[in-house]
Amino acid sequence: MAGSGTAHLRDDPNVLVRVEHMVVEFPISGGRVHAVSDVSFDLVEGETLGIVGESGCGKSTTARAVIQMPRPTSGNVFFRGTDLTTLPSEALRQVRPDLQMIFQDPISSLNPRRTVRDIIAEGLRVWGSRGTWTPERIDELMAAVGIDPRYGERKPHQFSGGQCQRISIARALVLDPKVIICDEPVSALDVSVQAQILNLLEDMKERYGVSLMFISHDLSVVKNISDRVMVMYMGKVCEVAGSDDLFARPAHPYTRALMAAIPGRHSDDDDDGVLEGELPSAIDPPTGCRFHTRCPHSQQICKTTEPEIRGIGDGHFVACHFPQVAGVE
Amino acid sequence: MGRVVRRTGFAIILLLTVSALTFGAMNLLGDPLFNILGPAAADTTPAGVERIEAARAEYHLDDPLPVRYLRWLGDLVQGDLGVQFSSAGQPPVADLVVERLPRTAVLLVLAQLMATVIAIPWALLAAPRVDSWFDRLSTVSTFLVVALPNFALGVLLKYVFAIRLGWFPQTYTADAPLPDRFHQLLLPALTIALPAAAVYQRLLRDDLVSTLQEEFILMARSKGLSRARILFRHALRPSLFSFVTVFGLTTGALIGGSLVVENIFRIPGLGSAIVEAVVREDFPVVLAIVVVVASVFIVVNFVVDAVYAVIDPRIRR
Amino acid sequence: MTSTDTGTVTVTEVGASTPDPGTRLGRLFWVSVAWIVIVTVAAALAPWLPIDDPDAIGGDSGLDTALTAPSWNAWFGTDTLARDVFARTVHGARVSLVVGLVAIVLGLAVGGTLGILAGYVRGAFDRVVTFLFVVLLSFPSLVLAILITSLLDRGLVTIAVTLGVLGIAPVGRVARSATIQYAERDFVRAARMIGSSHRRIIVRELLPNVAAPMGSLALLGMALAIVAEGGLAFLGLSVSEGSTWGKLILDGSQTQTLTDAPWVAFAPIAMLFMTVLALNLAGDRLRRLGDVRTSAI
Ligand SMILES: Nc1ncnc2c1ncn2[C@@H]1O[C@H](COP(=O)(O)OP(=O)(O)OP(=O)(O)O)[C@@H](O)[C@H]1O
Ligand code: SF4
Ligand SMILES: [Mg+2]
Repeated sequence: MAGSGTAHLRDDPNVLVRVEHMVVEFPISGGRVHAVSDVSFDLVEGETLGIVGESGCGKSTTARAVIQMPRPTSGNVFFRGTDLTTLPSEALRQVRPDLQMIFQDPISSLNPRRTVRDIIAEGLRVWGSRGTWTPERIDELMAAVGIDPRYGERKPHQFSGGQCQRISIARALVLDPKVIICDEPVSALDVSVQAQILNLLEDMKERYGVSLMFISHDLSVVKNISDRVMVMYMGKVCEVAGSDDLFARPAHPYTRALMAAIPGRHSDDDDDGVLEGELPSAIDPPTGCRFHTRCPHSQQICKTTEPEIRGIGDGHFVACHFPQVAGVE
Repeated sequence: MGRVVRRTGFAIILLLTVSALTFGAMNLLGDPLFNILGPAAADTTPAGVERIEAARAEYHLDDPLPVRYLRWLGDLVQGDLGVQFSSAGQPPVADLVVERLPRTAVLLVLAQLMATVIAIPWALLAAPRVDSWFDRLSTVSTFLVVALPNFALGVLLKYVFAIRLGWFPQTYTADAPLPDRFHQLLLPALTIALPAAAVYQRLLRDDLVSTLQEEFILMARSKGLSRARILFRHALRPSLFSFVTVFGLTTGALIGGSLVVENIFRIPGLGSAIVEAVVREDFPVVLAIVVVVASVFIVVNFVVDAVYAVIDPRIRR
Repeated sequence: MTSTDTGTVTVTEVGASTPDPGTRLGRLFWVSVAWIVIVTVAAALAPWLPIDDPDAIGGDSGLDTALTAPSWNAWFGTDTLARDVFARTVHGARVSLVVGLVAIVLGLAVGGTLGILAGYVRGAFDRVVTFLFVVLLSFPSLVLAILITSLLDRGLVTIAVTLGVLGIAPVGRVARSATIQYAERDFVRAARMIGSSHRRIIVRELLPNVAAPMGSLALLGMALAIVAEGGLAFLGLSVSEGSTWGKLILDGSQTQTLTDAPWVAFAPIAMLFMTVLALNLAGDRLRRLGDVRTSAI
């Protein structure tokens, strides 16, 4: 896969976030890590965008580059039409409350030395009230995310992982953000707790009108929560489609391989076996389509020419020379 | 190889920085003219002024500081550390350093040897018996010894072994025959060695305890190897690596300790030399000794680092 | 923790009901603290305590004779000038403790600030600060102290500041590595997302975490400063005015005095030893507690 191109970007007036040709590279001794290479996508108000891919494909880096931590190496990130990549740091700080984030590691997410109430109310101390929430209503917010307000004076280590994620969600909500980026918010939790947190996120999204970018390496988690899903491989976009559409007719060989790996799901193509071969090095990624070293459908052209993202109907886009769609080949 | 070059370069930069800082501090905070002429620098009689002018010219005191530093450094590299202005005849500082340095060096080497010789068997006895009365007693004693400053320990040892028991002389005689001088150094060396031994024991013991729980030790044990053999051949050797690093770092504290202990036992080493020089305000001597001692410390750590790199098990594997 | 279907969750308390030796400070810690408090209070109130004038020859009554052994009348005996050794030891604590306190406050303020900034800002500033620490550590500490005191006067402030300079690099290194460790955690990222300024992040998010390891270091550092003052005293380079434990021990260690009246040296040695031991024990205990807390997180 490899997909560069912007065919999948929408001309909707309600686009909140629009990322164009974003590149993030980390210089290291002996080269540079190509963590994100020319990725574009957008997020429309009220939508949940799922981002999936194997560990190390650049999901977290993408999320962080959207919020300019660190700033991307090149490309643009527009939030409501403002390019964040060129915004001076003070102006950026003013925008930040609108873009909040929830992290994977519930323990590392919360300052161990501060009380839960303090952690949640911190945003109000920096900015004052921005709308819904005020210092007097912190108890209400705690209750809304499922933390008993009586425990407000406790420290994070007295809570379980799932509760810590609830606290993180409250901290993100207190500033009435427009977008919450969730970087694998349930990966560190027990399966039994995962569903509760996912439900809470959906609830909060409805109730407070936020849009979500939801990152996960787990397709089945992404499937239920997302309106639209973007599949990534080695810092590139493979496929973008509505959630149901993507699961009904995955077109990219990599997406198909991911789905074949979901237990209990049957593939209609014997080629879509479990992924074989090593993940190539992000320091020296493959030429052409980055997936060609592991793709069962790879041809000569895949080694030399990077496929452009193109539409295959119904808002379904794929970056592959040979998408696995009936009628196309 | 790249590592060796980098480390060497760093040590050299460090040596230059340390000497430049010392030289700069001496010349900016002190009065270099005073350093050379002593009280005569304040002489305002015509003859005095003439001497001052002559000294200014001779020592290029009107040159900018960096130039003077480079000149001083050039001299230093050739073994010229200036003159002791406050002593009759203004003998070279180098003579003093050459006379005093060996005593301090012998004292230090002796102390490090003693500390090692005490610490290793002590740790080997304690480690296999974790939490036994012996191990607990060892831990408590290391705490007590570390809390006893070297000068206090020196006074106590001097009182017990030199004054009450009379096993050792109370002071050092520079012109005594070699075996006597060695004997005279034992008590001061022990004063420096005991706290270091306590630190080494604690470190080695902790390290040995965790090594003894590792898989390859359990395997050796299941093969029926003798306890002593396991301890020496298999457990001690890997534990010595962390020991080597601390050995280098401790040298700094021991150098400070030896300066103090020399004063208790009246050993005319670098310690008494620098104190005498400070009291006489003989700054070229202070400057020389500080730079020499700091350089030795840097070089020791550099060598330790190099030794470590050579014997590091991870590199050998 | 158990969770209920309403989504509100009850909290399990960690370590509250099960006594875990690793999370308790223990009796030894409190004994140490008690000793430190007693010595500090006695030193602070020394002029008003019902003890002899430390400089009165023959004690307050003027009747004591030189070098008398400890007795009910003079608890620690008298020195060569028939002064009361107990009174001198209590008064000697004043300068020793002030020097130790000022030194470690300075070390914490300068070393802590530099270390935290270096660990947070990273980049070129970090490299400069780290190099500065290495340079400071390249002087054996007593040698650095000799160098500074030889250039400046030997007033109380100079000595205290000198010993504080010795603390900068060790404190700074700990502060720097603790800061780096915490600055990479997500809660710092979250604070930036909220829009906290760098200053606020350092003060509200990092400082409370970095303060814990530095607290135990402060106790150990104070012990080191007190000992270093003694070392300087033995070289004749400590404060020129007033007496300190180091100077008292030096007085008592003159061969003749030590032979005839060992108590003159032993009394301040015992005081110094117990105080250093108490500071070390308390610091060590705090450090272990911190280790347990962090490893539990
Ligand atoms: N600060 C950094 N310096 C160097 N390389 C980095 C850095 N951050 C990330 N990388 C590299 O960039 C690539 C993408 O990492 P990223 O964390 O974005 O992946 P991910 O998809 O979030 O994976 P995971 O599922 O493990 O969280 C990886 O190869 C990673 O090693
Ligand atoms: S078919 Fe070619 S372009 Fe498509 S994923 Fe496979 S290698 Fe890439
Ligand atoms: Mg990630």
